[in-house]
Amino acid sequence: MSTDETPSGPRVLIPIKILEGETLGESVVDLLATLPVVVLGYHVVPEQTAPGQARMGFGEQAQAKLDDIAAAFVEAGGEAETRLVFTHDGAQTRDRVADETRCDTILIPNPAPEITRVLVLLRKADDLTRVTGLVGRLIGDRSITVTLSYVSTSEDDAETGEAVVSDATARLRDAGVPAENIRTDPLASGGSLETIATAAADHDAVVMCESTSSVRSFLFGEESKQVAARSLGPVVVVRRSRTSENTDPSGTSDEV
Amino acid sequence: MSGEAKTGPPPEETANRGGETPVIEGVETTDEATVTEEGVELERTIGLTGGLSIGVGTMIGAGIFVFPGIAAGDAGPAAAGSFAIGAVIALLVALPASELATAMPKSGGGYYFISRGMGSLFGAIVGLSLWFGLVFASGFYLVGFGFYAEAVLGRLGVTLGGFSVVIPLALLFGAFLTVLNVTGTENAAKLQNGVVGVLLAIIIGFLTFGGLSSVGLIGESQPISESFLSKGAFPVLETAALVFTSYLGFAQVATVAGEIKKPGRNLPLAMVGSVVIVGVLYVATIFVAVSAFGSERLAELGETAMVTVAESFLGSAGAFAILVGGLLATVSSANASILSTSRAIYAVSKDALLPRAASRINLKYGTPHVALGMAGGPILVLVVVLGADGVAVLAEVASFLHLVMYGLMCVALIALRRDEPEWYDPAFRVPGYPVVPVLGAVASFALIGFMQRTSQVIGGAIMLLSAGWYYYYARDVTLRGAL
Repeated sequence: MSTDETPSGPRVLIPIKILEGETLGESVVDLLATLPVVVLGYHVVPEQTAPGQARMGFGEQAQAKLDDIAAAFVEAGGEAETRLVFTHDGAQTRDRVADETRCDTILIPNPAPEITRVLVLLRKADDLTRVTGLVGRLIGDRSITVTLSYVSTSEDDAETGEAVVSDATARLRDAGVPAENIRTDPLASGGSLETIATAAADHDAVVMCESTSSVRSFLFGEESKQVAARSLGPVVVVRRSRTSENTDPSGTSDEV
Repeated sequence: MSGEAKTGPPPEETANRGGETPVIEGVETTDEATVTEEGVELERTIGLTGGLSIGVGTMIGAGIFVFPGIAAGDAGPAAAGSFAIGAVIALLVALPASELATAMPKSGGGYYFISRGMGSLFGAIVGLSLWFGLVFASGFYLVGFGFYAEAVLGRLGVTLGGFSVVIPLALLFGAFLTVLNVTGTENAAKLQNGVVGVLLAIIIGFLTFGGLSSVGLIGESQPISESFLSKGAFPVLETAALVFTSYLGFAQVATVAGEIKKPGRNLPLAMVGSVVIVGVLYVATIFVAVSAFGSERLAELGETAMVTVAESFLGSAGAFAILVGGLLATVSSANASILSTSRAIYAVSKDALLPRAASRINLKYGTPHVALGMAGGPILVLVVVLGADGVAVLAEVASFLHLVMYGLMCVALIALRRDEPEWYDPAFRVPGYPVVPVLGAVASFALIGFMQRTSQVIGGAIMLLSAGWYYYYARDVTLRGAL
């Protein structure tokens, strides 16, 4: 459980419902192998069951599956840290582990047969440096096409959109993504979930920013989750910047 | 008590008859999780509200909805004093229990503290007795439910030819709750919080109208004046022993100590807080009921006396509210106790004092079907055997077995404090040491002395059987200091 005190770049949390048959396809492992990842295997137990009781029954089985996934990352040339948690509350666990391991990015692990086209959704409020930094590290000079799409909030937002997209394009090029692999797609503009989902379904994977205040809310009916549900592909979500990361966590209210 | 507590894994020859050794749950405790030796994490998900809800939800069924009539009959108007004595004893135990729980925030509660502080013989006696204590408590709540369900049917005009449906309804619901817990994976904790909220509202409403009525503002009843100690002092203590079942819930908070967030803060608050909340409500409720009706009439009305009392304040709306409250409260208490029983069985089976199979989880629902069956089965048998007239015995045996654990918890605290092992680092320290734990131990054991002979014999027999089982099955298991 070594955690870098100063993360040198993006770090991805991969939450896997380890005992429910959820796993990572080879294509997703290959896509993410360029980044340091934390594979979080978790199992949600009903409240009648003590988490320790579930661990007593299924701990070894779960650890073995988790080790397999970690080994797949090593094989693909990457590195993976693993965490195994038995919990009553999956969202709380994902949130906590993401914070503890300083993962600024979290994967919604849908499968994909192969990944050659990645859609990157951009908004005015997004931290462009982080998104492009992530995509740059993720894609590099691999033969994967990146489509940059600005999601505008209103008509007159379109100009800002063009500026954002060209800024992002320049940053990606600086990060080593070949120009011929970068596309821009104004079609996704307009912002309705329908348009975004259609564009997402046309690609193999999506990169987008978390739009509201917590990982929890995004995982429960937030936009990125809906995009994942409609596109059926993996979605890499850049978490909102945790500037108050080191403030007193006891300030959070009691949850039941 | 030489205090030679060991840390780390226990020595090798600690297997039980089946060759199983204790599973050490966690080596590191954080606010958010327990981390085992292999780095597996067990998330803590129950906050302060959830902890209070477990404590209050377990307790509130008995003291207000079942006992007032019985207690008033036994102790007269001083029944309120019996409840107050119970509250004081519960507090004297809840404080030391809180210290132990913050030092060892693991599943199993009182059993865990005693087995780690005093060794596996005491652990086995307490752990197995706790299982049966909870079985008796659940049986008591279910019979209480039966009385309320019968009263509801009676008011709806449903009669079954004079045949009492208390026990059949208790059995039906006992079976239903057990099956529900095996197959249901819905989040019932949120429901439990809602139920506790509704109950608190009903009781506070009852107290408000009862208070207005007793000063003559509403209702037909006149304040009854009878001597407070109309039956003398001894029955007050006997009644305190009987109604102590109303306070068993706070220790159930400790059975899920491994799942409580920020245990150093939330465990003491939930345990002490739930005792204070229900203690105040009990005393006030009994006081209001006795002032309105007099103890003689309450005693005649029996287990569902509160329905008639509320009816006198508010007419049929009052009766309806108390009937609904009684059903909800007894079901919520029974359900919470069945769940605690399953946790208690898990705790002893994890430590190899029972076969590991007892805490097996089924793959389909992820629920501990064996342990739930070991809770539900004996409960149903007990309800059949003791029947509707066995309410007092059910309640007393439950209290007996819990009081033994409470007393020993206080002793374990003193033993640990006298020669503090390195690992002993509670976030909460009991105020007034050593007076509070000494008084807690003395009061717990003394209260047992005021119970009926039948209850004492049954309770004692269960403890002896537990000790016998330990010597037969698990005498080589070492638990002292095995954290």
